[in-house]
Amino acid sequence: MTILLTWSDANGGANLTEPKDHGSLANGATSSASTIFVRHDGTNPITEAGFFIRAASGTYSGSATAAEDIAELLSWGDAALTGDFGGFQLALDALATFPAAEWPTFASKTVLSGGKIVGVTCRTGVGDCTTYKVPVITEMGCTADNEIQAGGSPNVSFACRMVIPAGEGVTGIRLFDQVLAYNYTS
Amino acid sequence: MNRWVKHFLDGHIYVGSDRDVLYQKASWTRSQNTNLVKVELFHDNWLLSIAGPGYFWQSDTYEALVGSRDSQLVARRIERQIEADDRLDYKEVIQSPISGERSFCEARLTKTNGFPLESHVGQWIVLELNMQKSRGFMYFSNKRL
Repeated sequence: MTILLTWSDANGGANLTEPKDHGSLANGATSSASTIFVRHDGTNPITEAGFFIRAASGTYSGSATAAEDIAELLSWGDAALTGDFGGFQLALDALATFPAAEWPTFASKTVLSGGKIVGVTCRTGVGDCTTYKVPVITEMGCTADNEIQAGGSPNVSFACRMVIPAGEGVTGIRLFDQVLAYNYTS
Repeated sequence: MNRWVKHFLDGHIYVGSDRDVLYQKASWTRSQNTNLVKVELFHDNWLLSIAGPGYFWQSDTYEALVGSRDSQLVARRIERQIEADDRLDYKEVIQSPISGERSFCEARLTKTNGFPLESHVGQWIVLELNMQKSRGFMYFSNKRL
């Protein structure tokens, strides 16, 4: 049975207008973090829930190709040099209002707290496919790790942002999909 | 119509279709889950079946784009928890009736004197139909999915 998800910029708000636009950014810039709330209409919790990114689906309207865009985004996260580092980042500690110290950096691409990922830069092997999805956690407002509870307005949220490498040499529009993978039992 | 069928010890069955679930006329979690001897899952031209008796579970995996209300079905599965006194051979059925091809998937489960290894007890034997690969899989999981 398919359930309906609602993504909003306020708890209980109307569904987001897609696609999410992270803005036009200069080299070395970081976009303003966007906080996104999620809820669903299932009668049971969704389980094994987590985020990953993949090549943009649908009609491509970027500057290269969907495959090149996702490869580049992941390479920004993989970067071995600070000037090449960037990419798509998630912060999950909504209960602490996404503190600055929990956003990932070049030196700390994954930020852990209590053994759980609270901040991450998507890169090869981390948030790049369903196998390596970034799990939802209680710090997001979930009642259990890996689960999003049922309810009209469960107050589950995360924040995301883009970081552009200081040394990036190619201007243009990059597109990708951010995906929530989950299990559901009727 | 895609559906699961619960077969009970006393011979009666309970069917939960996607349509019934949508209209809240059926539920896996809110219907009887004890005294089952077999569960079948029908999806399009596929049949997944595990024999019991035992504790069964059914779940689906979905993917949703952030911002999109709709989800895409990625996988459907049925699961059965392995019990210490199982004498089953774990040859379960994933069948594609449209082609008539029947695939017996034998899990790589080592048994001692006909019983499961202690390390397997409590794990779950999973039959999964992956929509993206249009294939059936059998595997073990240390937790209910």
